[in-house]
Amino acid sequence: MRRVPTRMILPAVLVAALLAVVLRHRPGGVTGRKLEEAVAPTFANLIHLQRSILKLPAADASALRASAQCRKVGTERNAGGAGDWTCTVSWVTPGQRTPLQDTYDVSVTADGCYTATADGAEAHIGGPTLTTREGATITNLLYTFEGCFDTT
Amino acid sequence: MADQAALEVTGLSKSYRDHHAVTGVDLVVRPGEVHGLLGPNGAGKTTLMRMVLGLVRPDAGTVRLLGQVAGTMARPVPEGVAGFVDTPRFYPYLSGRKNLCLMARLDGAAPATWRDRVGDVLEQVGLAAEGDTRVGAYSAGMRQRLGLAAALLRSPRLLLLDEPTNSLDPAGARDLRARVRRLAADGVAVLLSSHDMAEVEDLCAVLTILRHGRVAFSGTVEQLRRQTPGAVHRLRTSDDDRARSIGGVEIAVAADGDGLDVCAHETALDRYVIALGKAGIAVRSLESQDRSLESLFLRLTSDGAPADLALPRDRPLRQRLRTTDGPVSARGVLATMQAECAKLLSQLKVWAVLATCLTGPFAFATAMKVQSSIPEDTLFGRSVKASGFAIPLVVLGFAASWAFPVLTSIVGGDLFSAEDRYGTWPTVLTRSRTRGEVFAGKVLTALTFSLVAVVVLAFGSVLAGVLVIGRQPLLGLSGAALESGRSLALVVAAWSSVLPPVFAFTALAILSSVATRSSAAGIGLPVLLGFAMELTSFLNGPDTVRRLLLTPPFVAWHGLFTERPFYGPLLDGTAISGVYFVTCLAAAYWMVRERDMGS
Repeated sequence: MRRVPTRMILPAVLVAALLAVVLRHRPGGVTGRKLEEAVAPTFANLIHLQRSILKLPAADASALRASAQCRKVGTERNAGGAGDWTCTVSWVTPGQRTPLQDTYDVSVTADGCYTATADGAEAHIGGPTLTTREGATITNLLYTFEGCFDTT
Repeated sequence: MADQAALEVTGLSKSYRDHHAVTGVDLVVRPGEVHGLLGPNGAGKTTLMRMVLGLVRPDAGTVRLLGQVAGTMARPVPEGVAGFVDTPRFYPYLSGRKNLCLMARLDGAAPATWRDRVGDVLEQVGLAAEGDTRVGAYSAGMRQRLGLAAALLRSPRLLLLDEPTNSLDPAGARDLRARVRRLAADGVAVLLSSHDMAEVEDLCAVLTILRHGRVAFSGTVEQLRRQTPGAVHRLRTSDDDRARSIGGVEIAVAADGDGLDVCAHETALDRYVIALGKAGIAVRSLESQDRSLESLFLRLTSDGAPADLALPRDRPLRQRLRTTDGPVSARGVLATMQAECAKLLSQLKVWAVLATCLTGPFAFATAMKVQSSIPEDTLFGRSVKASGFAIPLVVLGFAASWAFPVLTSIVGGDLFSAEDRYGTWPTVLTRSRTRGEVFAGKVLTALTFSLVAVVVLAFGSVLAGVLVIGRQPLLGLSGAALESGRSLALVVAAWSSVLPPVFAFTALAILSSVATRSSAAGIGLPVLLGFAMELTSFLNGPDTVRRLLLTPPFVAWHGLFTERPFYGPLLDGTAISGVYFVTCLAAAYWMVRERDMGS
């Protein structure tokens, strides 16, 4: 068997150092908190956008006070990781005091991207499509939406 | 300086496992001399020539070419030294003229001068009319002549020719011999390996005969004749078996089985014939045999050759010589890169890939526009009808799964192993470039192709999206609409972010190509690894494992499209891509640098 030349040691050390940087210990991955912090503002932004498309009175995203509570399906409350999640989104529509809630089935991938789809049991956000005042049928941005968050 | 040897080999040795291919060979070739290198198959002639040309690393000994110490494989063949070992090999998809132009590029010749020079050498070897024909259509003899042309291109002062008249027709062989004589008359030193004894006797004043890797004879033809212990006689007796048992002369069964060959001086022969009579063995005939070079050669190289003709003493093998890095100049790397690019541009597959990258996205965008279904399971897939900027992002998502490993491997995985497939490593490495320059030039070419392929695919995707769908605002990943200008900038940034893993996959393909010497493996392995990594990254496994994979960096751009952009995946992806890149290229270079070519 051939001996590894001494000059190969330096590149090996460099590679090991780089790996150490990459693999440095830090909390990472998909967690409920990260998902909640991503879903709620996205949902609020989409309400804002959809109201403008529907030519409804403008609603500032921050005024909607949107929040989300997420739990991984079939696991303990604090469990994390990619897979199927359920998120309950709460918000307040302009001019109303009572918060509204809808539940989403959320599919999360390991890279921190998700697709949220209304589970169909609630009616606040409507169905897959909406009809404008002019009678046109448009996609309901709130029925299914996607987003990403940092898992590093 | 006229007496300085053009080639001086001292104590050269080479072993492959337990087989001693060459052992302690000394050899000197002087300017103006045609030096014949003879030996039966397996005697070590080709290995010796490979060591002289720096294709194979000696275990011990030194080689001086035109006064410069050589024999360290990473250094280039000095200017003025040229030749070929075995059958000369060229790129079959290029014409003879284009092959020679590539060689001239590698030699560092200025483009203004090489075109005329290439025409000259083609004329000299009688290939002017076939210069623009693809080498794949050349006969073996034409390739042999092209090999001589490639050597002449270097205006040699030392020329090494390995059985140069093989495959040549009688007229071609005669022309070549005449050319060799003219070169020698002009002061060129020629080392000529041949099996054709008549050719060697005709051309060479000085000979080195190898047997079992050792020098069995070295000197002039006359010295060889004088050194032979006696004339050879063909003897036929009434009892050949008993005749062989009577000593006093060197005797062997004739090669054709018709009697015995007896080698002895006259007095010894007389005593031997008398001894036969006393033993009751009748001598039926005794004829003097020709002492041609062929018979002398056969005597020296047959297993029954007298031991006193094995001239060199055993030399202890020293430790395997270390490879010394030759200088890697930017000019040399650029010359190699230009040669590689010229080869690439002659290949249909390269144009087919680039054309697919440009037009494929238009087919996709058109399909998205006319059909009702959309790629819902891909990020931005829901937006393909709403914004043209979603098209390049969906294409980017698809490409990450399989297209990037394929795109990068098509050239990266073939660039090195193609030299093995065509047998052209000796052709490339006997020009004026170091192995480091050849390696760097090829790597830069592969990286350039990967870059161009990604840019063309990105450009085609953006153009297709904008022209087919439109420039509507894009819905970002935080639910906010992104204006056209910002969308375009983010799309460009997203495509740019995949360059580190693309380059890392290119390096992986290069390593596969170098390690396996197979283009199928060079292209297939990175693609399979890409699939395996993609599959692993989908699994909900440990985050640490995912960070070590090379496919997640392909989707690290997602964070750019959020309201508060995050760059952690991009930084991690760039770092891990760098690790793959450096490791693969370092390993590939080490293999190329240490490898014995053509062994």
